[in-house]
Amino acid sequence: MTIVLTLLIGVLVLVLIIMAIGPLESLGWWSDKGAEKAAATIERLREEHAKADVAPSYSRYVVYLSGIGAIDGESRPPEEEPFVAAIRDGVPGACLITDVFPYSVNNQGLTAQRPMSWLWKKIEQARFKNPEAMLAMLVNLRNAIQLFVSADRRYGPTYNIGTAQQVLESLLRHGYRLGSGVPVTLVGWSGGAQISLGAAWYLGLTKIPLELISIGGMMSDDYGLDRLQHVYHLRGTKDPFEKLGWIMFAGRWPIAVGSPWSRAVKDGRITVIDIGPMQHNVKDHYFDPAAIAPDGRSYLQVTSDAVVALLNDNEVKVIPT
Amino acid sequence: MGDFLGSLWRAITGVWSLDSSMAEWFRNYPQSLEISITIAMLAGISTLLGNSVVLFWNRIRGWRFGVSLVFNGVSMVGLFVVQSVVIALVGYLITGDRLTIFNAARAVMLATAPLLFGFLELAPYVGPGIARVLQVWSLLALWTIVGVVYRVDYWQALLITGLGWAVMQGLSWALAKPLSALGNRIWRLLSGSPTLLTAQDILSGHQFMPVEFDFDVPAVGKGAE
Repeated sequence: MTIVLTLLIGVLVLVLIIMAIGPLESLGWWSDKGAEKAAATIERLREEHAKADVAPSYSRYVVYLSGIGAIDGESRPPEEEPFVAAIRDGVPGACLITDVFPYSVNNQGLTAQRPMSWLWKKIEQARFKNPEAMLAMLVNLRNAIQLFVSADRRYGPTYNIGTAQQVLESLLRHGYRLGSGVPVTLVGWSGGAQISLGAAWYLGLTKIPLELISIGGMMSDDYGLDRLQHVYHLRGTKDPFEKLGWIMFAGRWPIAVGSPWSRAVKDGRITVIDIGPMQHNVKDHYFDPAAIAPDGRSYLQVTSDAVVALLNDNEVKVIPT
Repeated sequence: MGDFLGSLWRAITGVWSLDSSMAEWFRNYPQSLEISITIAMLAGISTLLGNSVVLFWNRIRGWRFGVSLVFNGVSMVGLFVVQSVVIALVGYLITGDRLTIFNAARAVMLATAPLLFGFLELAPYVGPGIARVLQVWSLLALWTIVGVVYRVDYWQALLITGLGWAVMQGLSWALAKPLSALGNRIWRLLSGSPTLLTAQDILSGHQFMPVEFDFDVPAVGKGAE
């Protein structure tokens, strides 16, 4: 019994040590060059703003921020690919951006020039052969810590500057014109929803009309909520992680009067939609093509239909539960 | 050296488990002062690492980073000394026992063993909660040690520890303004920066966003149409 307890405490301390190291990447980035990069980005935005009379090519921009299984901007768990393709097909007038890696302040994927890149490359290969490989959990752990870095009131302000810059730079690369008033919708799956919220605070500085569609999002009461016109939170009724978010982030509790979340709820800027009996992962999840709803649609289709419907200002068709 | 490290580990684990028999052993151990000082120093370094986020916000690097850590370490030692004096005074008022400042300092410094985990305050989201748990744990350790040092029962030890804690809170409240002014002066000297940047300052965007510019203003070309 004592050995088991000691082992448990040891594992807990080890996890906490790994967590304690988590914020150092973004803090080091801010301390080293983050402030200069942010100033340079603003300067570039001012130049771009002066060109706002150039018409943008799209009527809407959609930025997809993946869940904690992402390895870089374009290397996501395979199950998400059909979903991304469905959004692309479902909203032809929109520009879909998928090249932002939400779990790094400088868009540096895990397999890029990093001290541990060899490990992430091995995991990527293992996951390619077997999407359910246990080793892939390390990616989830690493990225989940960055989710909490973004949500933390101490680290969020610097971390979220980095991700907001990545989103802005990607928007500009894809022809977005500041001052054009063209709406931008952030679509955040799981941890991507929190990263979206964090980035929204700084994206809001540029007065871009912003919305968020969260899919099973783990979100805090981030200040970014104050700069979002609306949050659509799609959730599965059997998703334990989504439920955990309501408990873990005290700013979302009904008694947290005055928190950004409570303000958004009071203003009617948060719509929670139960889309069906989805779980978060493993099986019967939001992107499961094999789980079939009573109306004949797969769970993957139910989720993608819901996001497409919101992007086209249509009614969301849910699975009655 | 091996004996010292073994005794150090025994003292640390004894405090972690709030073991009063360890405190008995420790009271008569010849190198107890050295062990107390070592624990307090390590706890101080760990706590300072846990609080180092402010140095990152303010982009303090190189020798300034090191000097700031050392200065914070000295401040912590000062805090331990004040706390030792307070415990010795409160203990004398309650029990009539005159405890030397060295004995009181030994007790206070030994009780900082839970703060060896102070660096865990860096952990995102749960860090501030961990810091509070460590403070409470450290206070419980002091309660245990005070009971042994003064040879009093749990309730009297609780009274001494509780009053000592309350006096420290009162002092920090009463001296908040002058301490803050002094801290700001020292900060300017150490960091070379006129103001201490907080997370709220970074959130405001003023660090990188020119105040005269507003994206609400139509762009030149658009406005001219």
